[in-house]
Amino acid sequence: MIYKDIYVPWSVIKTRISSTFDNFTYIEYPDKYEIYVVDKIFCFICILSKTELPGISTQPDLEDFEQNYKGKGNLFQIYGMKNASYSPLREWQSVGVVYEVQPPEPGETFKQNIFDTRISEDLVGRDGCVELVGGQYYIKDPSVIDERDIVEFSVVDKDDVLGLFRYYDLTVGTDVLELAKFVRTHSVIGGTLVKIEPGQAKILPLGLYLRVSYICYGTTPFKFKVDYFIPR
Amino acid sequence: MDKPDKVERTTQVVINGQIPEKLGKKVKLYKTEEFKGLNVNDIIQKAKELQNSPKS
Repeated sequence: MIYKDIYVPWSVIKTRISSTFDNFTYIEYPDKYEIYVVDKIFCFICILSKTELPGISTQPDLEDFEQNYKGKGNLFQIYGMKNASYSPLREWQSVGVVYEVQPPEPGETFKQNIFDTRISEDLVGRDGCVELVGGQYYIKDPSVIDERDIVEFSVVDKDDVLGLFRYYDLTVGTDVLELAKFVRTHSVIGGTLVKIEPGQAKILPLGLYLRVSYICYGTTPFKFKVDYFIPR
Repeated sequence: MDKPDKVERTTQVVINGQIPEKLGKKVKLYKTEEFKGLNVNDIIQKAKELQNSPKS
């Protein structure tokens, strides 16, 4: 989904922040904050200057944000910090995928459901990369989840995009090179949106895959919805 | 939470809804000697540097 951006003042955007603060993200720069609040198809954006602007008093809004909201939202990156990769020139997008989790066959205890989403031309920016900055998953009916179910999120190379298969004697088509696993043995939660935190923005080139591994012990198939946040 | 026992049959795995013909190898790059301790951004950067170097 491509969100429609709407620039609003702090007094407006704060009313769009959910009570759980889970739709609220900001970027801190030396001289300002960029604040993003997602609500349905809209992405509300507010720029809060850290310095006084001619004819405008920004201090009350700044104090309100820093004292009451700053620590509760998601911080993308602090501009200028080591490993900071997020570019404000990138366009925010959320990519949603709905997978179907299959239960184990009769006589087996679990089934590992692997879902691979290729980082395609549609997703990458002008530099041939995307930045994975987070995401969320959702399972509508918690009763389908077995308490032993676990899910993991990783980034893998299946097509020798990085040219490392020869170093590890791997074969394209069957073997996999796992670059990073940013959610490990997560006990699955249902009935609510669950955030995925990759820890840092990951700059991923075209052709790699975002992999979800869902190990299912339940008895019925169900839909598993994943949204990746990848400004490109 | 512990992971389940190792997958032993291909019917225990589906990839994008399909049972694979065979289970391939998986190398966890972040656990290898060359890349251990690196984050994914650094792994990709180092891989680019290795692409043009001969296999040791």
